[in-house]
Amino acid sequence: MINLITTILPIVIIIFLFVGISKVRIKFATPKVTHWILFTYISVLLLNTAFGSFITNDKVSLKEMEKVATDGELSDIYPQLRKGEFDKIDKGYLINEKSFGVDQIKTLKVKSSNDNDLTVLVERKTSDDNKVEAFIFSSGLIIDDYDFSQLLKHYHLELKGQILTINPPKQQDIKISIAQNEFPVRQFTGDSMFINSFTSGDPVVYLRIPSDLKVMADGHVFLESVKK
Amino acid sequence: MKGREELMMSLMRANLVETVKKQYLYKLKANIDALSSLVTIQLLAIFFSFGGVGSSGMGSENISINVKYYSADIVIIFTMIWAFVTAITITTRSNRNHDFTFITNRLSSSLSNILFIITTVMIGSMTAILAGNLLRTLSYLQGDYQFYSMNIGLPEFMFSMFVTFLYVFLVSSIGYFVGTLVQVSKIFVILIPVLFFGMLFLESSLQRESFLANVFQFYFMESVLSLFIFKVIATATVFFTASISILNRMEVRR
Repeated sequence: MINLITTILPIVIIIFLFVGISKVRIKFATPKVTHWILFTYISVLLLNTAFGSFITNDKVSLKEMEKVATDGELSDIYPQLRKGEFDKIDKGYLINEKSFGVDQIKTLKVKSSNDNDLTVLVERKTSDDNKVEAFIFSSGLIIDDYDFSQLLKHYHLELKGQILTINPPKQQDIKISIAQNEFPVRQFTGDSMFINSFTSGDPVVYLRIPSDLKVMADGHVFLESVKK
Repeated sequence: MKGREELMMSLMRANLVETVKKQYLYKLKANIDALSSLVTIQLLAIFFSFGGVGSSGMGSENISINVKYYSADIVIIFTMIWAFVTAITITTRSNRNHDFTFITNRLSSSLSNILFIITTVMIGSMTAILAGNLLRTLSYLQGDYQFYSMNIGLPEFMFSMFVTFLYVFLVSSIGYFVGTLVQVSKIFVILIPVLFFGMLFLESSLQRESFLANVFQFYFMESVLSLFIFKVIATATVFFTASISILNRMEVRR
């Protein structure tokens, strides 16, 4: 309803303005250039207000975005992951999980496709089910309590032979433009002009491996055993 | 014979409301060019805001984030400057002399000036907030940035326009007062800027809290709407009343 009003109201105002200027023409011979400048300017602004929302129809409203609590940052869940306390960790941090059959493999080599150091947590299962389960945890990207995690590219895992390759995304340049309320409104809503907090961290790779599978690290990967 | 003289006198004693109305309409017509300067200054502000009114960012080994902010803040500030200058302009001698084409007094002249200021401030505030919408569309059309917007509907728009109106009105009341002082004595042309900038430098050199910072906080940090409205209207009333009484004391056609 409000959208309908914001579309129709500007058009009604433009019609009134046009009629007003036409009356000026009748009453005072010809309207000044200023009248037309003002009429054109206000018309452009009003038409933009009326149809701008259609142009920007795929914009994302910040208020409709999920607001998340940033208390539990990844640094907080890391100690829990090191102890293998899966149940205590919010499922929201789990961004991907994958399972690989390793019945032909005696030794698993874990490597990273880039030169950045990467720590992988390894939990040895009590049974031998010939499956490697991989979990990727991430704190996502939280900007001022708004969850922008969907903009992040995630780690990709692939198993070829006995080599499990972790493919971190290449350098990501995330560019965001935010249309804010004006300062006369922010003054009363308490919104800040600039972002106060960014929360983002490198994802954590967590592997659950069969009890008798040997595991080795290659290159920049550091393996850390989970102690339950 | 006596009755006829009384009738003539009452006809000459022009009704204040009628005079104010006539002068106001005349001023709207005569000073219409102030609105073309409003358009120019707002277009300039839109141009300056096109790249965003601010930005922030962070970076790490694998990720860099750049955030640009868009709003009509610069347009509103430019509109305030325009309102300040327009309010000064309306107090100039040439503008005041136009009033003498009507049966007039200082009060009717000042009241019509204030009505003219209110009208232009309303137009300025409305276009400033509408310009914010234009900036949003322009920033969206830039394309290389992921676009997000705060929920800005009709209620937010009306509220924004109302508060902007109050701010611009406040600034124009100061402008009107400054313009009036300058009409009293040209020495204020030098004295006011000297006092303003002198105070800035003096307070920073004395390393004490600036008076202007306190004034800024008094209005811009007020988060209770009713209090803000009261502060603005009270201040504007003080400035306009002071201006009217100063102009009333001035000689006719000084």
